[in-house]
Amino acid sequence: MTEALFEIEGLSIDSTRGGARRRIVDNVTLSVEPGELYGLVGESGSGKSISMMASVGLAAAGLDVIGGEVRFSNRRRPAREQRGLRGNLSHGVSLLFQNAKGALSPFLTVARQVERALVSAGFRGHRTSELNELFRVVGLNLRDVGGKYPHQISGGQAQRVAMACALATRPALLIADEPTTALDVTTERELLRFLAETCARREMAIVLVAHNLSLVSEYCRRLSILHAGQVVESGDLGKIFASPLHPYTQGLIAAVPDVDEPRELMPLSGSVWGGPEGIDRCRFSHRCSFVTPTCEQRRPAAIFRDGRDVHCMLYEEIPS
Amino acid sequence: MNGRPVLSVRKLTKLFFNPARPDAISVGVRGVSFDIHRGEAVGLIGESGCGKSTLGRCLVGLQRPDGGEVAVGETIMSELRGRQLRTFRKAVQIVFQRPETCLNPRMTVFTFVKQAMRNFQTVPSGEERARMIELAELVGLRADTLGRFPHQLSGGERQRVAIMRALACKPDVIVLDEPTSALDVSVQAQILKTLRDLQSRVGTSFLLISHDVAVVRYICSRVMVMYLGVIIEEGPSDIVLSRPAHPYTQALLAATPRLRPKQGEQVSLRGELALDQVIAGECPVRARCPFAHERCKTAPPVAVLPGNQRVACWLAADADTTRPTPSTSRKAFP
Repeated sequence: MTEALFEIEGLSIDSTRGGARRRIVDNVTLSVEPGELYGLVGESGSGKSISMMASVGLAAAGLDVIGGEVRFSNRRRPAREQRGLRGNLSHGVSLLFQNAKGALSPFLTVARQVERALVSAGFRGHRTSELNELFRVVGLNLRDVGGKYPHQISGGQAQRVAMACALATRPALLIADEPTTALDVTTERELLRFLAETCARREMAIVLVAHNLSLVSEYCRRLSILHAGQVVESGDLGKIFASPLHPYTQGLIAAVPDVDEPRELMPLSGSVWGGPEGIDRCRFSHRCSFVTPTCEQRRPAAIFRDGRDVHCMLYEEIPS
Repeated sequence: MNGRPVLSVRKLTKLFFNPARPDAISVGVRGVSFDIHRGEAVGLIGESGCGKSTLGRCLVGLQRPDGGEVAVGETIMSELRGRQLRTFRKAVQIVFQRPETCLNPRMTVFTFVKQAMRNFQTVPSGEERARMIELAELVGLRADTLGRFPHQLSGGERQRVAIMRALACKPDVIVLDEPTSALDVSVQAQILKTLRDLQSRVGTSFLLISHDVAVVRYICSRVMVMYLGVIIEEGPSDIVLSRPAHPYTQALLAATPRLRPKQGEQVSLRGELALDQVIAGECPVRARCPFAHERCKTAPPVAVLPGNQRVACWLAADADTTRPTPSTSRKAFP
């Protein structure tokens, strides 16, 4: 196993919105190797975006980072130091958001925006040729698209421009937060392919945040699955998909309709946040059909089993 | 499929011209015809901007078509006015993508659904509560949700209320416009299951508009694929979605994310939909089609393949004449 490039350890975040304090990210740990395409999957409200944003110092107002550590290329920092973590954004971490048009300035042509990203990354050299190269890499033509404003281009093109901005800083890690949710499937596939190729060619690691398991299945080798702010299962994608161990992963896989072989769906009951509040407990217990009294007494420990870590009491008693 | 269709659409056209881009082809629906039979669930798939929602809105009368007709049973919608049009609207109901935008925030579920019942006088006023409880059970809502306001419900529950409102009108057809796109995977599965149960318990027909091929495959027995306002392929879901004949359908299926990705080379389209590259009268997919040929500059004929799969493509037209069609699998188009 190679040395990890990016690690989050025991990240916990409370929301203080609406006067009540709620734990929304609970002891999340993950580690990404250099040049790896890593999947982070969860339903909405599972805390996947919030933990990634907090790991680069962008925890939104009303969120209180309680604890945890973030390590990026040998620099270790407590997650509470949000301002300090933001420094990572100019030292090798780039972001890609769901709404690319919203992430681009409506006042500037797209070429100017990529140029700004280059300048802010301290690029010294021939700008036009670097711009040309960046546009070529993301599959656009500087001469055709460069002079346009964001409202004049399509969603897929906007996401590619955002990608060019992200690549301008020559990052070692790209956090792509649902980059294809607003796109059509054919465009989505092209963009994901492109991400996977860039990942391999530039030796850049990517964390692909997605709410859809099928999206990560083709390109990621490892993934983490989040439920209500807790990691439920993480590790080798092939093994997890072939034999999911956590009841939530099993339910999630059974809930995805299959295009090729239609089968009966077995939906999980309830929703992510329907359960009782509380920190030291399994937060899936209200939807789980194997629930035991211990599930509500303490947080399940990570058990290593068959190429993945599973956080479930069921596997604590059974010897591997 | 026997008898008269519940809903029949003939040469329906509704186009939107963008004055800011005079060179671009108009989007919308261009001359679409199809039938829906009683109890049938038909899927309409296509990417954003292909006109699938416009078609749905024309069917329920939210948009007045430029031409063509929508008929329920024997009445043609465009010929109706006033009270008759009202009765027609009862017959075709719609469920939108985002339930939060179509529920009234100041009404409880009960008052909201009661309005629909009263509006079309589907239930005598003494039996409203009983009918309400029956409907709630049908769509999988607990009876105590009837007294709640929309903000007290989860996304899935709100969508159930929207389906319940549509059912309260006792419609012949319900148009479901992306009913699960705004929901999470596990909630989507719950709603899809409810829809399928509903189909077997109530005789209502569905037109399910969706961009998700897997969702359509789960619910619908027949599917239509739309591109730039025309239906380019249609037929039984099992055939169209396992042996697609049109290059666009092939690309759409290849691009659909799967838990178990398909191996090998797949058909993919070039670039994105660019409206200024499409010329009226040509095959609409020509600019992006990997198999485009000189003859694609004239509109392709509709070929009928075995199993009643209808495809608007020159390639399929070749297959239609050269491939011997077993008479057993070829049924007359209803």
